[in-house]
Amino acid sequence: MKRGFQILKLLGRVYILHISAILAIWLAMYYPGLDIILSIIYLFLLWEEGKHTHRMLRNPKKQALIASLWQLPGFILGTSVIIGIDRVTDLAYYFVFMLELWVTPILPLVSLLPHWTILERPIYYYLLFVMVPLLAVYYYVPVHRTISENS
Amino acid sequence: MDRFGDLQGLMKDKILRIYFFPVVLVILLLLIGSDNIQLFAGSRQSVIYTYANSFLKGEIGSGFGVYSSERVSFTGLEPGDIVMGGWSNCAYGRYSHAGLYVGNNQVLEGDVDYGLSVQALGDYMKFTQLCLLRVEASPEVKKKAVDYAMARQGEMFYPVAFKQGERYWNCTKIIWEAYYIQGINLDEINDLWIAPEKFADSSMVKNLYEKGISNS
Repeated sequence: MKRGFQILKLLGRVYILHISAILAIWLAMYYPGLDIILSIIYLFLLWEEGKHTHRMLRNPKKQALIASLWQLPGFILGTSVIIGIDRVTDLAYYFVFMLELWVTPILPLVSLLPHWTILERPIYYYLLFVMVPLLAVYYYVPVHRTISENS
Repeated sequence: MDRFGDLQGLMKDKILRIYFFPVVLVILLLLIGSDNIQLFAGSRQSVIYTYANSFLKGEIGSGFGVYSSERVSFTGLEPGDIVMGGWSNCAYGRYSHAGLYVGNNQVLEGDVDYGLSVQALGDYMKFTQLCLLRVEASPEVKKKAVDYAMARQGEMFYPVAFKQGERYWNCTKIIWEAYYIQGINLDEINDLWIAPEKFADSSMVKNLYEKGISNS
């Protein structure tokens, strides 16, 4: 029970970090350049949060669970768009927009990439689906970094 | 360098780390709010007011509907004209989407799937509400506006992109910016975002055609 509560607490922390970053970085786009700075800070804070979670849990599987639960909305949205559920209902049409909003914290860095297109779609479109698992992995990586430092 | 180290130390604090973005969010809300006080002070023309009203009615997003089967003639459109389409349940005004006519039955528009891209004009026939506008400007100005927009193909679409900056675009910002840098401001209330219908309300445009809009 106590460990379950700890997992929930750590999950809550990363959700607070992510959702407040979505809103703050979106507003920061009003001041071009500030969004890029905040995006870099977000990655730094997320890394530190991953390290903090590892220190609290010392359990890679539980940390992976938190990373997956944290990015679950992104996984659901991205998978829905890829398999075409977003073409089935009117509400699902908004899924790809919601996915883009979900990955707002690192969009400023993506916006710096060249504007190449692949099969008529810009690179950032494909990255919308890649960023979700990447963020989960990024949060999880501090586990392995600590393990390799100790081995 | 010491100050940077202090900042890093602060970021490593588990409490400060969680409060960082909420505090930044509040500061930005206050700054942007004070910069646009006329919009937040109950301006009924602002898209914020329109969206808030629609949200209370349960309408969100661009809306949807049954595709129209009505054929519309786009004969006579000139590069630089604005094409707008929409559904009656759009949360941010009469029209949900806009494109800049670039000639050859094509429009430059913004969408999340393709970013800023050239698409077929005929796609607008599906909308139950349609409007064609002509910006009252010289052919040279309109050509420059079209050239500006065309040069931005492939750039990122972001639905709630502010007018500032040139890294995030939506379907109306690209049209507004293309004309703004030519000295024509199609958003006369200087809103934070530009709803497509604001183009129709501009004194700088002439209405060429409109369908599906009730006068009630």
